[in-house]
Amino acid sequence: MSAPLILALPSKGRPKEQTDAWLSKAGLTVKAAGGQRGYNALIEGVDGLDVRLLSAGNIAAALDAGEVHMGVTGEDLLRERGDAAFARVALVQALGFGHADVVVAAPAAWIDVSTMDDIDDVAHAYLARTGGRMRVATKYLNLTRSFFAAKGVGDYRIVASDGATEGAPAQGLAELIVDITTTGVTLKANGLKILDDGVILQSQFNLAISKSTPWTTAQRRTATLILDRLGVAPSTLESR
Amino acid sequence: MRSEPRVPESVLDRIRAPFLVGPPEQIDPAVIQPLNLLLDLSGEAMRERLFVVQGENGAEACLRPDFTIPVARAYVDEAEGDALERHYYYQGQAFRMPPASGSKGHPSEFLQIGMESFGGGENAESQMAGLAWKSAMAGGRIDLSLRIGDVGLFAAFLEDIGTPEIIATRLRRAFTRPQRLKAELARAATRNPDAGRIAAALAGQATRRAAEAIEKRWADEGLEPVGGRTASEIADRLIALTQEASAPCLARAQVEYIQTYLSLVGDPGAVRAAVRDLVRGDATEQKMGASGFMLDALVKAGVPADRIRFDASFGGPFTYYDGFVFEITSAALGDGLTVAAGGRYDALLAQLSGKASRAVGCMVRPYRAWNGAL
Repeated sequence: MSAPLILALPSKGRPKEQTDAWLSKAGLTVKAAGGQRGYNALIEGVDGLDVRLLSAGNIAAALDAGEVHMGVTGEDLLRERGDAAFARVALVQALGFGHADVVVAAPAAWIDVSTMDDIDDVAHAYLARTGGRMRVATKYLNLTRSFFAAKGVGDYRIVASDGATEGAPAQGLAELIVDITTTGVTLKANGLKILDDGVILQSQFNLAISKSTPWTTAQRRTATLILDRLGVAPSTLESR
Repeated sequence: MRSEPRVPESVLDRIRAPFLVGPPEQIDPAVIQPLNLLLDLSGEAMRERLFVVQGENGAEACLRPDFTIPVARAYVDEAEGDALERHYYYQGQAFRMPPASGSKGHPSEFLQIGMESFGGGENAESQMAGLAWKSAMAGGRIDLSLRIGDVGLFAAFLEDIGTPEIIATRLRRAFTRPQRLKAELARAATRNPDAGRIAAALAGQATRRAAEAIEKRWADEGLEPVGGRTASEIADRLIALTQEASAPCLARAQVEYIQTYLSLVGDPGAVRAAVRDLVRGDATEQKMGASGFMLDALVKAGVPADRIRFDASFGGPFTYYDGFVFEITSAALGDGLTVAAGGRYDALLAQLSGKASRAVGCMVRPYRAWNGAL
């Protein structure tokens, strides 16, 4: 049997529910295949397809590395992999769910701060006062760096954060954060506010394909079949 | 290209020779440097060029991307607060990730030779540029040129055209960052809209009363004072913003002067004449000197006059340079692949040592200087 097409889908939580709902609207049903741990699945009635259930972050990495042919993941996670990643991955369609903004947030108590220009000012004063640079907690190292560079803000440094980033300023681990937010409620609860010009990216889940992985004719045919069912123009595959 | 090909030993000897006159003290700083210190001193933008490594205890470190900060640290340790005069020569591998624009000509591991000079005298800058020139020329290229600039001259120019201090501070700070500088110029040309409602309400109040008002507002709105800035710090900035809003903004003519100044490039004599056309003031005159404007000193140090161009907008490769800066490029290699560079960085040393200091340095990349290389 020839190698199957590999499709990576979110493995849990809201993203999984929303992805399943989107697929079932097109009459595609994801079913767990073998093994109790449920990392593999299949879609009823589609042959030559191997569905992998992964976290959204791992899907972005797998698409970038060419380990899967297609995947559903957040645009933010792909963008964070740098501009060069878009030579290897193409966004095929925005899916209308998993909306999240990647934003710069500052303490709400800083009533004199509302823009990145203010941050530049305050960051400079911070450097002069402490000899250190203002800290930005985030897991989005690349997005943060390119956004701050585009705004011309230089006197800061990034503190890598892998979870509960919004708590970092209250814990004294950072002054600013760059993180995703949907409603802003969590930010507010942590004493933070979004800067007026601090929206880095309005992200949502996307169907994406790997441009770097080798595609066989059979895999292409399977992909075309799925895209057709989903109502996505298969030309996205031809033009690869 | 991951690592640079070797430069033949005989060529390396020639490139190294100018550095061995003196003789200077040789120094061999650690390859592994503390990451946080480097980022604090050179800025987050540096991170994308760094090889970050992690020790077993979890402390983040990086491979030295350059020798300036490692050597300055070693000097501060040695000097223990005394203003010793020291000249350190180094040779070793430095490590940088290739820039996002492409890795051609940017091996991640490369040889660097250089000198860092602390507490030196009057001609330290031109001597340093002359040293780098002799060393780079020894590589055999015939198409080198020396680009010089002066962060301090920009400051002097702003002073002489009567830029209000609060605006001059912002412009000086933005000097090495073109986008920021453009934004600050636009901002300085219009009345500042930042200082809004609250700032107006605080106008004329003493810091303490303003801080109390801020604390009351925090309490009223249930805001947690996270982020480490005190109410008085915020009050001080708001008061400064208010003053700025009521201070005169830059006149159109001043903005044009600054833009013209930043576009000046050419032989130092012509640039000096052009600066004088724009403004005749004590600060710029003092910086440019009575006659030489660095040109005489550079020629004396061995650089042919027709290879020198002054670029008024040039602030050096790193933001920590704060005076005279220079770089040597080859026409064949292009502007992106600097053969040698250096400049004055008094403030960086002051930040490390906690006292006023004088520091000038330069580095040469032998492989780029060698005419046998691609």
